[in-house]
Amino acid sequence: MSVVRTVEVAVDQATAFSVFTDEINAWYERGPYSWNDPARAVAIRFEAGRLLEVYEEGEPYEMGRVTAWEPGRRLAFAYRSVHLPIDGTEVEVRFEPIAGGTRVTLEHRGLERLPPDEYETWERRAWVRLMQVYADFLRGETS
Amino acid sequence: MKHLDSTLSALADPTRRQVVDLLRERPRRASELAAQARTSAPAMSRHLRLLRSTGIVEADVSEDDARARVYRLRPERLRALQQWLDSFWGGQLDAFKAHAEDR
Repeated sequence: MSVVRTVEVAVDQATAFSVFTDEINAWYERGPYSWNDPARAVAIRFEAGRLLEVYEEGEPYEMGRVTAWEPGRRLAFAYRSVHLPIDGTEVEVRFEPIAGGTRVTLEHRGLERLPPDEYETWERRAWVRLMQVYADFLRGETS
Repeated sequence: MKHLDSTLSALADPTRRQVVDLLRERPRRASELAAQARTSAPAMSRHLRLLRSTGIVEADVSEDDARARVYRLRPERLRALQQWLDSFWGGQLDAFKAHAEDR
């Protein structure tokens, strides 16, 4: 089972790739589930083959271990999050040329490896999170 | 906000969110859902039809009598997790696009 999202951006592939990676701290959305330790997180960045959640003090949290780094074309990392019951699901981001820009496709794979006995707990939590997303959306919609 | 699909608009209604909350506990009949949500049977019927059309909710297919039909959240494994992640990554990509085109 995987999650696939696509977005089209009006910049070339090389730019899209470098914005995605080098500038992730500038665009990464600060939502309720964006961070593993929201109270301490100060930044997110790719560094030395890892995607890190960085704190003022102490060791960063490794959100990803880079498995593919092909500038302008493809990026992949083994993903980890306190909001997920298993480590090492895979996130792949592909950059393809289209007229006037780049199509960016993000695929998150490996979710079927979730342990069956933990499934119900996680399903319930996921529903709670979904409700939060909807509630946030509604606030944005009406404000 | 184009990642916010039909599921999202289906759940943009407080009564339908309440239905999902009630069904998270256990399957229930439409009449029970209507009573709990303090809404009329025809109104609940419309809400349930919409929730079914998005695939969030399903009805017990063995029952032909609509009044006896039992509604439940669809049991697909990881469905909620998948939808949550879908929404999460969709939001991140929208933020990426906004930043990339606004530099």
